[in-house]
Amino acid sequence: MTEQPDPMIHQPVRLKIMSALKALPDKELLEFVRLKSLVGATEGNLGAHISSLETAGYIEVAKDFHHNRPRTRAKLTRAGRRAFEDYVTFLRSIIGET
Amino acid sequence: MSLSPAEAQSALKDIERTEQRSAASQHHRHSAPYLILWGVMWAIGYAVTASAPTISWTWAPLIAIGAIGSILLARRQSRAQNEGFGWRYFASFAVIAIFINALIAVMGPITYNQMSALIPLVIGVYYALIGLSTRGWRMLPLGLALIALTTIGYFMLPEHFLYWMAGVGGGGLILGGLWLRSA
Repeated sequence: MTEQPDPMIHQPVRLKIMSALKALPDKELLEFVRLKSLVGATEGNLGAHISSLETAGYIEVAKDFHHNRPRTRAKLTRAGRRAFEDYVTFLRSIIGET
Repeated sequence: MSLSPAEAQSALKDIERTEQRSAASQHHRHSAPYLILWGVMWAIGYAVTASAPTISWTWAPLIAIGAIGSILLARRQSRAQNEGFGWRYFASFAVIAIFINALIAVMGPITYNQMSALIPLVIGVYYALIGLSTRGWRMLPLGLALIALTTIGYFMLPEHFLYWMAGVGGGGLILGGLWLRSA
């Protein structure tokens, strides 16, 4: 069991980003616009946190054009999924669930 | 860095809430194209049979187009993810088709208006149950609205029931699909 919370995930916006992506199947990518709505963050704030999570290797970001418009999508990496699960286990251990 | 049990509980609630919203949004987005596709088929089918009852065979090619379109959508969605959601969704439509045909065989003969009401009523129940049993809650009001509007049209506008169904059945599914897509 993790003794300390993962500092990369232990931040409200990043935690919501990870939670939103965790709810999707492995291969599924979530569009930046939808992520923004789910997380309730501003575009700049979300972009900065996504960049941090990508640098940490927790999420993968794909950029392309869809209907002639730039599109940014993200998904959890295997490492990200595992880190998120560890973080949830850590939280549960605090409230005595595990 | 330490967390109190209250903070941990709050974080777990945040996680659960966000996961539910994300899963519901995904469910709605995947369901949307099916509703739009079948909404168009219904609008054309009901409108054509309302204006020219002798060409009710129009339904056969429309159903075939809808079925092929659904298969293509299911394949595309299955490829985009690891889960078989698309195929399950399509398979459930096949079960409904079997159920409706069995029901007509058992209950028949039924009038054209009765048959035209039966299918949207069954689809309405199906959507409402999806809304209740999955995270795609928007399917519940859609299903209930479909049942209510079909029943209202059947009893209040028997002479123009097929036009009514073209509008509220077909049009309703299209609008419902657009509403799901915006989730």
